[in-house]
Amino acid sequence: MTTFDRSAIHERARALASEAIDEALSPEDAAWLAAHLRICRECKAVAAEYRAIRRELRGLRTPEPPRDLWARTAAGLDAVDAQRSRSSGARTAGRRGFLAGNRLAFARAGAAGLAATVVALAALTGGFWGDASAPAASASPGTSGIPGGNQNPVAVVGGNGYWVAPSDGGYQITTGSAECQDATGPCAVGNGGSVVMASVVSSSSVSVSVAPDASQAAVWASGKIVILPLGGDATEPVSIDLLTPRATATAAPTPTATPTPTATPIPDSSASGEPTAESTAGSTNEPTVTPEPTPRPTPVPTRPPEVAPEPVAILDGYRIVGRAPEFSADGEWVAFSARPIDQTAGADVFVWRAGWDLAERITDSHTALFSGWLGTRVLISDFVIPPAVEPPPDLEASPSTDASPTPTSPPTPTPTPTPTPTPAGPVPASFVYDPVSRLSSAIRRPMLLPSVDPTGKYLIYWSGRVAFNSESGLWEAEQGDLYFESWSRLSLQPVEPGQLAAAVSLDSQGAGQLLPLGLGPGTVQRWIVRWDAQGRNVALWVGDPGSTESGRVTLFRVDQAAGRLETESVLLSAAALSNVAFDESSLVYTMPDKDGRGQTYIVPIPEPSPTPTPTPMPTPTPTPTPSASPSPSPKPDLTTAPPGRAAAQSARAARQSPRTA
Amino acid sequence: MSVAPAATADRAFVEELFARHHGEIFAYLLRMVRDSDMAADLAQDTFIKAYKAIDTLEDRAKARAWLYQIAHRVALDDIRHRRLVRFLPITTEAHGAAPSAEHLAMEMRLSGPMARALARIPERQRAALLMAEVGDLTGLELASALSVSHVAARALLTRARESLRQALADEKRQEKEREAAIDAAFETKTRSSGPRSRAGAGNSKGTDR
Repeated sequence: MTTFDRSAIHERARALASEAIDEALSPEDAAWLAAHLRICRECKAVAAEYRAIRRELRGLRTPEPPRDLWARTAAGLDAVDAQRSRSSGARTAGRRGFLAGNRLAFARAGAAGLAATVVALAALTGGFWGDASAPAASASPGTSGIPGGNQNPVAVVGGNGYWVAPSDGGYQITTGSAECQDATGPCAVGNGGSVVMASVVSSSSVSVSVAPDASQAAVWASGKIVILPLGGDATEPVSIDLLTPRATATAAPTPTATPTPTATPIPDSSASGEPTAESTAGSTNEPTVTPEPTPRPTPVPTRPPEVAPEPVAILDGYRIVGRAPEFSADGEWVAFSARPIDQTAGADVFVWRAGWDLAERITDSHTALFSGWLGTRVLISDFVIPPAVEPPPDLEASPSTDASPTPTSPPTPTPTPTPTPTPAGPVPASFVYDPVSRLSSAIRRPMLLPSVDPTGKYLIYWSGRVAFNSESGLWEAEQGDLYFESWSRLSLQPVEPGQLAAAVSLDSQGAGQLLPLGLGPGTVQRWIVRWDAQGRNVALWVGDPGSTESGRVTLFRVDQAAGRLETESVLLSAAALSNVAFDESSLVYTMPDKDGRGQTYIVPIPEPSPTPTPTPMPTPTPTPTPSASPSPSPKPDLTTAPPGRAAAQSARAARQSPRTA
Repeated sequence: MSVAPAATADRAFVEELFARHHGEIFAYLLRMVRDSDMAADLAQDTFIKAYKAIDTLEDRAKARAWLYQIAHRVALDDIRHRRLVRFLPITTEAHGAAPSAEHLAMEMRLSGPMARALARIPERQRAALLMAEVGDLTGLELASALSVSHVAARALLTRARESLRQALADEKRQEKEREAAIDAAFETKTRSSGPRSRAGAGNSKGTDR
């Protein structure tokens, strides 16, 4: 037998070994293969490897498609229908897909301290931490994913509804009056006498974040972030795909080489527009700042607010990560975190100011997340390894760190007087960045995504263990809890680039008022914090384990005198989809039902006696469930679901009864 | 205004296809293009193309393989397009967006050998394997989805398995070498700085990590 013959024999054996995995071989082939494998160890090993490959491939975790996939697809199908109708001379009546527009929820509009409250309905899509091609559980105020369907409400500003509707292959942002049947009946975003505020066209799904005064919107799609004026010449559709950033960034300052974090004390709150608040128990509103005499970077020149007169692509080739873009309270700035669309780097935080051509990147760690606005300053969270003062007992005993990169370069360790055990891995660290002065101050207490109330007095933050998610490429909350704290009790430290880790003090970890929200200690992984405009009530949504959108919303009142949350008597506790919102003095949330549809409720927050009446607000689905309408109740029990949703809630209520105090 | 009954039925059929198969189509596309947003866009594209071409589906009982066929073409088109067009962000941030060493290390560590090996084999072979092993398409369905004969599909699958086997072995070997190098470097460092580390309360360990 020649070498060629032997090679052909082995090839045949391997081909048959492969075929045998997929289908039964003929008796002759099966016998031949069995005989060959008995005498050929190599082919036998290869056959075993083929089978192992099959097992390994079949064992791969099935990725979950984005929640808005149907809505996006339905929009495309609608466009095909419309095209066919035009070509055949007949108009196709608009129709909804079986899911389009059903998974809607409100997201609070406007950052802390907004003059005008904007409520946005957001399609629930994607994951909490992952790239936010459309806002997900982390949807920022005034945000909405835009799926298909006929109407997708975006916002309510001053009683006027804003929504997005597919139109000729694109989308229209339209406004009109909100319509309610009666004082207690269902409300819907009105569609009579509507005015088109803007038209956009994009080959991919579009997401919108509306400015507090609804004069402009941030739109992101196709790897671009675009500032779109509302109310101008809306007849001309804006093609997101064709928009490119202007060639020269005349207004935007050149990013510094190491933009974050920079140093020196934070500016005076009165000068920077920091919301002032009444003194609590003799404390000032501003946290303690350790001054550090370092040279100040050149501040960004002050320029008058300017609304982009025409659509401007402020970033290209990037995808929004984490929280959706959010306008500052004065509407002059937009901040967001994004990462390159080709995933060649992680997430960094960007800011854009009216009049700038381009957004400016203000972090360079590739692990930073936009946390929110604090007046005119940006709250940013990052992940650092704080200086160690005791050697870890066993370096190999921290697999999460070994398996993950160092998120930021740790500083040269500086021993501290009080030894503190080194954490098993990175810890979340947050800092305040002033985009005008470009100065940063680290919050010394480790915390992730702090949310400060509109008055600047209180904050709620997450603290716990973080882990790296290899799928999203982001660090995430793994095991931790939410805490309430007075802003004045925090300590800020001006930081130089690379000093963020050194500024973090593990001594203060765990301080603050622990909020009993999860299924037990350390079970909060996904959450949303929504303050009312006065900072007197706060709604906290905590996601159910393993779900990106379902969870429970709990409404607390802030005990202003004691400086704590009244956790003993919650105002409301109900199953809810992942976006909750405050529309002025009302809490808006969407309760899920078993088929994935949601019913939106508006709950007024009365003063001083918390006896709100839930008012159902159907999603713009044409066929609202009749049973969704609540039966009038003089004193509804807010700790239970509104009437008509008992079936959907019963299982959850039984499961989570300890939380419905 | 009314919609033609046939059009309504077609639309309902595509919606049913979506309800049944969008998860697996998305999973297939994600493993082909390794970008979740791109995969979502391509999945959307797949069903829209299916709706447009619904008249070409002769046997609706074979719609699943037909869907895979469309998804396969959509994926290959995208991959080819991306080869032709190299996307570069046209922003001032572009210069800062280069992958850091940490990020590259992260990529190497956190995507498993199987995922990396899959990415290394030719697209058609990858597609065949994913459809057969993950999508569980039969030989005939695979042939239909790949627009080839049954014999050619089987041959492609055999080549795919062999390619993946070799790529996987290579990836595992490289991973062992990397781990050995890391261990060696760590041991060297530990030996050289051992006494100081013990005396110095382990600060350097925190920094190194």
